Amino acid sequence: MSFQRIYAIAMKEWLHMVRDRLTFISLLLATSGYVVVFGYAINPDPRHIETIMVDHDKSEFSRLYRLALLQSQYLEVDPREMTSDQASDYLRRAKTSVVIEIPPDFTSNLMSGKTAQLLVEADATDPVSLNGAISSTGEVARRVAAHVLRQDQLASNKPNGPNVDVRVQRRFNPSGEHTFYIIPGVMGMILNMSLIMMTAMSITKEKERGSMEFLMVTPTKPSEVIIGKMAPYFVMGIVQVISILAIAFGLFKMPLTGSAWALAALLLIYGLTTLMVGILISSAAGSQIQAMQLSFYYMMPTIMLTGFMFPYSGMPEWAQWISTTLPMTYFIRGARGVFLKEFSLLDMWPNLWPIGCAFVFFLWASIKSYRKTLS
Amino acid sequence: MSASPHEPSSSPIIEVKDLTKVFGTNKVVDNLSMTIEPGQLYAFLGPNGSGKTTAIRMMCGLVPLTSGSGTCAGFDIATQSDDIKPLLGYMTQHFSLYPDLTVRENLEFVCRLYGVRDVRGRVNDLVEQFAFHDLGRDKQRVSTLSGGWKQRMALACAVSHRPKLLLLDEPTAGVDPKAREAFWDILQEVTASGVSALVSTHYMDEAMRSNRLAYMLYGRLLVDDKPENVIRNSELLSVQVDLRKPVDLVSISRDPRVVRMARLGNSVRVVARSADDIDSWVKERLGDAAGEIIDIDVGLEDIFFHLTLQQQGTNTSF
Repeated sequence: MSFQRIYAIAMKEWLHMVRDRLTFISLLLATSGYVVVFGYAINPDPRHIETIMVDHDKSEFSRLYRLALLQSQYLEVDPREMTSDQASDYLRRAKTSVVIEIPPDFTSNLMSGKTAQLLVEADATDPVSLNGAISSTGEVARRVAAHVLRQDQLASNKPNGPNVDVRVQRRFNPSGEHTFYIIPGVMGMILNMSLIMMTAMSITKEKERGSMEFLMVTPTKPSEVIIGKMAPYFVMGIVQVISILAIAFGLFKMPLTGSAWALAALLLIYGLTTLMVGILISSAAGSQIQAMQLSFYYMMPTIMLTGFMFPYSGMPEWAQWISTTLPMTYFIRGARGVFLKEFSLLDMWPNLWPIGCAFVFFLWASIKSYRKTLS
Repeated sequence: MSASPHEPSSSPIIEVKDLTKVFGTNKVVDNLSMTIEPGQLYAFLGPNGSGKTTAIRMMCGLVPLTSGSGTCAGFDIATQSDDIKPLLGYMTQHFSLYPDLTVRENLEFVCRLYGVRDVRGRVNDLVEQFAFHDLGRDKQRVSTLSGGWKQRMALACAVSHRPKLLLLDEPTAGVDPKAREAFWDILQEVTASGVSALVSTHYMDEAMRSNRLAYMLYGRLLVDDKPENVIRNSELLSVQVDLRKPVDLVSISRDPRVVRMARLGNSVRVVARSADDIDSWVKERLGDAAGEIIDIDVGLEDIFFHLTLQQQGTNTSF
């Protein structure tokens, strides 16, 4: 083994690396940037979970319970007053994660020594991340109830503490199947990885091969190149989706509680947007290696910040803001909604239009970055 | 059928004036003015980096102009490149089609890009015209073809839509002499049918087969004439001197009287500006080592060599 030869090869590689400025700078920035962002953003035990309280009791207990929940930091109680139906609808549309309903007879039952019942409905599409929050609703309720009883000097009658029963209803995924939570995300991820990678290579391959110059002197328009490049991968995406769905329904017995049209619309717009991201990367990158890197940089936050791996509600506000710019966030919400929450096409709309906007943006950027000349 | 290549037509296929391209601080094309008549086979010569490729790309709108103006097939090269493209056949400096497709698939692809109506019929014609049907090359993947056949296929693609003009950037670079000759046979056949062609090349024999040639150096056009006129008007002379004994040519080569000197097997080839220069150099430098002296033809390469030296402000390359 010759140290000189190893040194020669290492030096040459180093020069390749530092002279490919985009690769070098992005490598350094992405490493530190992603560590900071993900380090602060990801929290598998989320706090400040959006909660709606439906208060039929309107008592001292409910006033103190609301304050105590806020102090616990697990739940962020919406100050608005809502009916049970409104709250339930919010839960279905993923506008809230937990609904706490205090029945009208809660305080009277508590005072008379009967069992006072609280109803907690939680969005169980993610069966794990809300566990802490759900258990806190009962703990806090018992503490507050004890305080109320003490105030009324009734506590001594109840040696085992107040008789508070918290009925937890895990909505949309009552059996707590983790697979049902994972599959919609996996579907988005697979489409992301395969379609972005493949399309990202397509134009850069032409550049590296030299055939881009030939294409440029033909009457072919940028839009024709882009659509022509996307078409075969679109077909491939359809095949992938069919196989994923077949496995999800056949093997994992995944339910489809919502509209098949809503699912089709979501898959269509998301698939097209994903292809467009690949095309944009492909037009912007100078080489296939750069295209690979840019794809990777795009995919990292898509995995980490969209609710695929870690709960959206666990992220700080700034990270949630970043995730609202990523189409995958809406795909995951929409897909979980249509599989588990009986989403109709109308329910799907709030997740469709942001992906549509992203598609238009990526299309515009792709056409802009597609160079018609060589200078 | 277009006008004769030797008789200038009233509407040139390419006419550029004061074409200039600057990349950063580097002037790559410097006030280039050229006219190519319909049906003309025009050779574009010059050393590497002389600006040929950039000039060709400017002529078809692929590289924006820094200044100057021009038309290609009657359309403005600065503003109407979309109108020029359908009338143009183009070959890049390096093979730029698809090695993982067969010859037929490449041809079909290019025909469709240009909107050829009867794609299958046109591809069949091209396969026959370019002799791809021999040994079933038309069904072969391009990656398995030799360099010469690859370039032949690139030419077939370039003419697939029956363009008015061919812009071929070093189409035979790295191709063996036999394949080059075959390539030029086809090219001459194509241009004989009225198609104009501007072909950049480093090969002087190819330049001699063209109707007209242009020599470019440092972005400037130094020669623009018929090849026979370039030879005829040259003031250079060339001789081949047999060597009777070994001579250290390096020590005698730095001499302002000699434009170019090349050692052959047992002789030396000398190019100079006058017979006196040759005589005196042979006597002084070779002395009794000099054997028989034979007059030989001056080639285009010698002339361009001389022009290059003049531009560099030196008398000799050594």
